[in-house]
Order: sequence, then structure tokens, then C-alpha cells
Amino acid sequence: MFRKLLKYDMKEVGMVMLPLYAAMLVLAAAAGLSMRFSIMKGTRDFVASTVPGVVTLILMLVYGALILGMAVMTLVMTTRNFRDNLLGSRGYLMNTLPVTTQSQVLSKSLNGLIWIALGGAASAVSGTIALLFIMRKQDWAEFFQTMNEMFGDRMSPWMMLLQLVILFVLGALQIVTKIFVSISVGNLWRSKRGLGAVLMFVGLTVLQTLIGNRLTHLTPDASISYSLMGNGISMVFGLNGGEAGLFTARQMGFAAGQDIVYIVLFLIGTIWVLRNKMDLQ
Amino acid sequence: MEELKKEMDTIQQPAFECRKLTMRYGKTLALDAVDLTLMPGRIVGLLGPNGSGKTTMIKLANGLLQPTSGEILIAGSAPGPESKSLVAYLPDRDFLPPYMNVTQLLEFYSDFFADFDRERAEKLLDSLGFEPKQKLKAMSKGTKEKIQLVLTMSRRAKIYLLDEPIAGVDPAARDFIIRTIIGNYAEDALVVISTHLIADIETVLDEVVFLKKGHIVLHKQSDEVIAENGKDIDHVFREVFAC
Repeated sequence: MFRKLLKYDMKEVGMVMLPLYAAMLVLAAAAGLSMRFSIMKGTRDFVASTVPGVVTLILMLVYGALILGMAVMTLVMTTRNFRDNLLGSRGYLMNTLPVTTQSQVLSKSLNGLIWIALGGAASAVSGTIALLFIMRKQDWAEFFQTMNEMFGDRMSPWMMLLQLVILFVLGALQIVTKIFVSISVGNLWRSKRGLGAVLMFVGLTVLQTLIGNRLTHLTPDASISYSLMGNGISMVFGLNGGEAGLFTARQMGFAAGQDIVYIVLFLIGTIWVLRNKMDLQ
Repeated sequence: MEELKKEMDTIQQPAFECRKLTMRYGKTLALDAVDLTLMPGRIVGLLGPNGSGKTTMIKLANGLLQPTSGEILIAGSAPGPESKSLVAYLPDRDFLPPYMNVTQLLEFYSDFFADFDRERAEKLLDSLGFEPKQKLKAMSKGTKEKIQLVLTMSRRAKIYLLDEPIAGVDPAARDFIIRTIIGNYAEDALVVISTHLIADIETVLDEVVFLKKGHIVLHKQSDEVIAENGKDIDHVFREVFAC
């Protein structure tokens, strides 16, 4: 039953997201080709008021807006998938299926995670497509040389990627489950349920920040914790100890551990509220 | 012998049971310590004016609300995955995913309900002339209601809970709805029809339950009500619920 639930959840979100991914890939290729054309024409400064330059600029702007829109839509669609199917009018169907509340909540959570991961993958693939059009062989060689000078033998780029993926996955799941528990608790209000959900989300975020600060006082290893963006930025820009490098096992343990604890708590909270306090209006 | 005993137990077990069932919405008391037992193989009218607690009782039976106190049992179990596999529920509103077309809805019901009779549903939908690829969001309110009813009644369920199935529809659609209900329910099943439009359905009811402000004021066989009062159920209803 869980697989069937996930199948329908993915279909629902996919109807909106897949065309967006396709548009991103097409635009990335078009922007890359346009920039390549500008470069071949000798207009490396593509902001210059030449026609190819302006077209390239517009394509790049639209592509950037599309990536931003895709990120926002991923969050909107996974949130709507949860709210509309379990607490909206469709809840009259979904909550009367012969499946457990756990299956429902886990299916929605996994669905959110999958679409966040697919969004990340689509962004990476489209960016690579654009670069393949823009960069020549010697540009790639220069790029890899620079990367090598930056990281040297201090760290493996694959290890860094693995750490980033782990933190990204856990961070994304933590945000998705926090949204779900906030909506569920907000639904307990007789009216203004949306406001209730927002207040719950803000309250949880403040609480997490306080806990994070407390942990940082206890051990500096906790200082990279609980912020997905913070983790990625500090790693890529070398803010981890002043230079680019891998997180230590203890740092990873603190960051991942906190996320896992929050995910479990948010899931338990959501399931408990839906099972014991369900109030479908 | 063992199987026969099991079957006899099932037959004698109430399909629907409320024990001191109470539901409060804030300060409003929607159901007040209601006791009610309904047996399988009956068509029961859950009758009462708006706000009498009919929808609340049906939602509680489906696990869409949690009682303040007391309990509700479906074939002996509290609402949960097991009871939901026995109950075919028609809510009083649009509840199907609007992005699905008729074929996708049939697949959805086949996927989740083991008792769904797809062939029967297809026959009923064919007779109504539905386009299999037409999406629900492109259909009129009346058409959507017919599809909802066909999907619900195409399950070979043990209990049908139909909340206001004939409210807000034209007389022709009303006839179709009643025909579909009567022509498709399994005879050993319990059918509960909640409504305040008595005249249209009273001839098909075996039992009636009058619900007033969260209390059951009458629960009898339809024949008994008619014989005792010398008038049809619609007139008795009007007397009981006179403003």
C-alpha cells in the first residue's frame, strides 16, 4: 500500500515539476548556445548592447528565475500534497483508504525528499549542459587545475560531495517534516489554521536555534550544525577552520545527528496529531 | 462447521455501534452520549435537520474526527485501516482529486480497495456516457457527484455510509442516485443514508433514526413508524422537528 501511496503522491507533484525540469534543461542549452555564439562573435562582454549579448543575458536571467521558481514550487507542491490530501477536501478520500497514518505521512515525506533531490539533480544537469556549450577544452583544463590548487591533497572532491549530499538530504527532510508537523498542529485551531501553522513553524525554528546555540556552547563541533545552507556554504567557501576542507567525523555526527533527531520528532508529532486529533472540516 | 460458526458470528455482530458517543466542537455539543446499534442487511435513514449531528456521526465512523468521549465501532473494531476496508463512504462534498480523469479514478479505486468491482463501475459509467479521458476538473458539479456515487457504490462493501447523497441535485439526478444505491448495494450490507429530504427515500428505508440536537429521539422500523402514526415518515419527521 505504501508504494501505491507514493506512486500517486509522485504523480501529483510530477505533473507540475517535470515540465519545469524540461524547461530548465531547454533554457540552459539555449543560454549556453547563445553565450557560445556571443563568444565566437568576439563579444565576450555579453552585457554589451549587441543583439546576441542581450539575448544571452535575457536567457540567463530567465534560466536563473526558473531555477529559483523550481525551488519554490518544489516546496509549495510537497506542502500542498500533504495539506490537500490529508487535511483538505481530498482528505475525505485519502483518510478513508485502508492504510495506516504512518504510511500516509511517510509517503508524503519521502515524496518531498525525492522531489527536492530531483530538483537538485535537474539544476546540476542543466548547469552542466550550459557549461558544456560555453566552456572549451582548455577552459575545462584550467577549471580542474584551479580546483586542484584550491583543495590540493587536503581532501577528495568525492568525499566532499558525499558529505554535502548527506547533509543536503537530511536537511531537506528535516525542513519537509517540520512543515508537515506545523501544518498538522495548525489544523487543531478551529479557525485561521494557516496562521496556526506559520506560528508553529516559526516557534519550532526559534527553538531549534536556541538548542543549536546551547550545543555550540557545549562543544565547538556543533557549530556547523542544523543549517543546510550554512553547512554547504561553510564547506565550499572554506569557512570550516579558515580553509576549504572536509568536516570531521564528530562535526558530521553532530550535524547529521541533530537532523535525524528532529526528523524523527517531527514525524512522530505529525503521526500523533493526525491519528489522535484528526479534525477534517 | 468452524466456518459456519464464524459466519453466524459475523451475521449477528452489529455492523455499526455507538456507545455513549459524545462529540463537542468547543462549547457546541454535536453528539450527546449517543447509543445506537445497526445490524447488517438493512437500509437505514439517518434523519435530522441541518446541525443535528448526522455528518459528525458519519465522520466519526470514518475516523475523520475523534470523539470527545465514548466509542464508535465498525463491525466490532474502532475506525482504522481494518474498518476502512469494510466501509464505502460518500461524503457530502467533492472529494476526488480534480486532476484525475475517469480511467485514472478507476485505477485508483482498484489499487486501494480490494472490494472494488471495476467492471460494474465501467458499466455504470458507460451507461452515463462518460469520456474515459475527461478530467474531473472539467466536469460540472452534478456530473462529479454521479461519478463519486458510482465509485462508492461499485465497492462490494459491508457498510455504505452515504452523507446527504440527494441534497442539492435536480429530481432526475435524484432518481438516478436512488436507483444506483438500490441497484448496487450488497444485500448483506448495511446502508446508512443521512438526509433531511425524507419524501424521496422513505420508501426504500427499512429503519429510521431521528437525530435532534445530538440526541436520538426515535429509532424504529419504518413500517412500525408508519403503522403507529398512521402517516408516512416525512409527515412524522415534520411533526418531530417542527420549529
